[in-house]
Amino acid sequence: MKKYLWFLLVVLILSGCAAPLAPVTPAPTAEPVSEPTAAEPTAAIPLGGTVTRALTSEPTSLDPHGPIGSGQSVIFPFLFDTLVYRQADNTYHPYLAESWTVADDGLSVEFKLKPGITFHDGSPLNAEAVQFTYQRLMDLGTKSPLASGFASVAAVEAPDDLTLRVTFTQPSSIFFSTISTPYAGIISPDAAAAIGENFGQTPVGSGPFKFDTWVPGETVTLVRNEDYAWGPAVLENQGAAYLDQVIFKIVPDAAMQATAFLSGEVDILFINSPGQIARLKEDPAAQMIETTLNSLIYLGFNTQKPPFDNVLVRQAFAYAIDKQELVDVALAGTGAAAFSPLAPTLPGFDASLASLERVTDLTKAAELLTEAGYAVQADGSWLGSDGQPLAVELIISTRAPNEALATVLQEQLKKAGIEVTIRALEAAAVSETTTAGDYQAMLWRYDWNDADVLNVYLSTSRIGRTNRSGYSNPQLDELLEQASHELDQTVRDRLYSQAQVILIDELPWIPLYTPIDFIVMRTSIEGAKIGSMGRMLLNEAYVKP
Amino acid sequence: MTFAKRLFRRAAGGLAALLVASFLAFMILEASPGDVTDILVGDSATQAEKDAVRQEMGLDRPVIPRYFEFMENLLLHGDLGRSAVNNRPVTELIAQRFVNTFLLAISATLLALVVGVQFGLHAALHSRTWLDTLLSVAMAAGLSTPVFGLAILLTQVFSVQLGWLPAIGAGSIRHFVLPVLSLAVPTAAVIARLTRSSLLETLQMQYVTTAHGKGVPRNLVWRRHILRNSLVPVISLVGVQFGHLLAGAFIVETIFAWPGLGRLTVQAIFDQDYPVVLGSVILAVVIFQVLNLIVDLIHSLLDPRIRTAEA
Repeated sequence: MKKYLWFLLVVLILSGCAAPLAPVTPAPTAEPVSEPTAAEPTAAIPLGGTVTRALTSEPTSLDPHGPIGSGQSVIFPFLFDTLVYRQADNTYHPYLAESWTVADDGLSVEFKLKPGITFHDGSPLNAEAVQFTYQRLMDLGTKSPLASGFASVAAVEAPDDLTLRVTFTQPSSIFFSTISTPYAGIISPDAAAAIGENFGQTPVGSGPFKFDTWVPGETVTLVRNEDYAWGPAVLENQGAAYLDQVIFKIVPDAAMQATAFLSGEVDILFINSPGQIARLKEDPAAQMIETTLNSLIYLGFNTQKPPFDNVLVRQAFAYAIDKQELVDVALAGTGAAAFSPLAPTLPGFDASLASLERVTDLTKAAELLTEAGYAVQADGSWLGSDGQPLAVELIISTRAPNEALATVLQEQLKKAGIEVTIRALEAAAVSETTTAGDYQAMLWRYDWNDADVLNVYLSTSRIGRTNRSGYSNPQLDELLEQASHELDQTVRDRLYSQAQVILIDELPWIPLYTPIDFIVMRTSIEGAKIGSMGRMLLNEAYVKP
Repeated sequence: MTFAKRLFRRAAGGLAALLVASFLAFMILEASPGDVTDILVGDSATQAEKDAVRQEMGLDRPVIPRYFEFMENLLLHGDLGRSAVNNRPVTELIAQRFVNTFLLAISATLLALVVGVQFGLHAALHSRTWLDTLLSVAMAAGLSTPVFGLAILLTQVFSVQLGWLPAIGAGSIRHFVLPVLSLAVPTAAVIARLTRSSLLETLQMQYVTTAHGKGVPRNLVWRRHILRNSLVPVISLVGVQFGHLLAGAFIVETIFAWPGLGRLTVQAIFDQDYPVVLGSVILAVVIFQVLNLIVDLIHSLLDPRIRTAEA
């Protein structure tokens, strides 16, 4: 009989009805949580070690030049180098190119490459290899995420081994942000020819780590590139990395990523779920590094259909929404209320425009609705001049935290007498419906590396594609077009400032908030460097003994 | 009817089911919003640019001829096409993951079978005693615990607190323990309940009383009459459960980062990689057909009535 009782006990424990288990406290670490800093003098740095990072989804391919897939951009900076390096503050620094000169008319750039760079297969990385890479990107056309960045490139030439000349049909202010993304990593032409179609399964670049193995559905393992000597100028260690290995483990579930961190199975992860952030903050072995993907979450309107074809209605909605409450309630505070259509981390964002923000005011909302021709009813709802009640449908994709956001917005607008119904669709369906203009309002998020995002999402020429708002304003088009060809950052900032004034006034979108995302890293790892768009370098990272 | 004839009839039925299911799956994927070109060309492409890619991939052709071409490749060459996202052969992608899922599902099923039958047997033997009550409570608990809840509890205890077992990944025998337990507990509970009720029913049968009465040794009564008869429905259930574990273990695979078929399928759905989705659906249909056949064969071995009924 004893045997069965034992069985029972196991079952009861497994079903969660058992007596509480004594918690085992993780060993506290003495070190204070420190921000990643430049490496200490080489003598003190222990060589070797492995760092494991969790990835939410498996990359479909490790060829940097194909269509964007999640997970890839995290791995690319380890395998591939880019011509220039973009820091978290969005400034550019020498990388494979040791210097560059932009012609006075802005119609050409000449890059000087560092001598002696080799790919992982031993072949030389010279101007010809860069030319090959950029040509490959341009040949892909729209299948490359960088197509628009290369649109104004007239030619890429390699006059000699270490000189690369890029000429433009008109000056491009987005070229540097384009070639510094992980998707513009330089690949080995020899390997690309030899491996052919399977290059994405066995990539060959020149980065600080070399491709080692890929176990489908489980891990991608990279090993140190001993020959490396061309790291970005912003690093103290431009030579070979200190770590032996970097392993990427595919862990689809956010809660399990946190669990795997707590159990010591992963050392680094990216996290934006409020519950998991709170859970990891309590672990003394976790350092939380705030990072940004230059993201914005906004309430987008279809400005070609009633009721949002009327700017007064859009403005009334802005007065009815309380963004701070939205962030506090729906996100447990993991976001910052936004007033501008540009993410605050993007160059061109104008903080002085905060004064234009419409502070929540239901009286003003009511005044604007009245002015727009709506009449308030006894129950507080609104009736349009056409006899139709003011009720809108909000389209959201089913991904978190959209449902929570939509519910809070629904409640807030209800207080202003506006009825909102929520329609949650799968992401592909949201994209299709909104691109077709078959909607009234939507929740949308962008992650973008340049203020040109306004051009992509709001210029007249993109209606029917990325301009889902159907918004058309010739004055704005002109400003954004100018800005995309303006190389002087001060002038460019001024153009974007004017564009933001127009957009805050006319509100094709109501900016809601910018998310606060974290990279969580074990405190025993020192010397990690976070670049723009959360791009992480472990060139001078090491594991404290 | 001979054995070969019956086998042939089952295979024909299976093929018909495969045809119907593949046709439905093909059409449903065709009708669902968006397609892989959305992923391949991104947001910024014009409709004309999208159409060009669609044409390049042959997606602009009418759906019926494409379906027939797909079936021809499948039936004559065993070819499921290539992933629309990374151009790798679907059969290769699916085969890799299927092995992982199979190992997980077979381990969980065997564990659930052993534990479930034991629990059910002892609950039935001690029916209406405190042991029966306890076991029944355990079964109800096992049955009503959601798999993800169980998985989170297990990892919290055995990975985070005790540090005994890995929470994620595959690759060693230790990696099996928690996902197998998570899958086995609810399955064992279902098996235990059915074993108990089926046994209780058989024990009241007249032929059991007769066998006891005419002095057949207790052992033999149990082996020949009681277990053999009461296990017939249990075998059917195990077959179905095993099929579900094979085709539907994606929650457990997602939680434990297990590189199985379910996760591949879900990822393919997100990527709108329809060839991979279609391949997984067809594999699931084949799995159920094969399992049904095996269950049938076991039945006819256990129960002579099934054999003669079809003869």
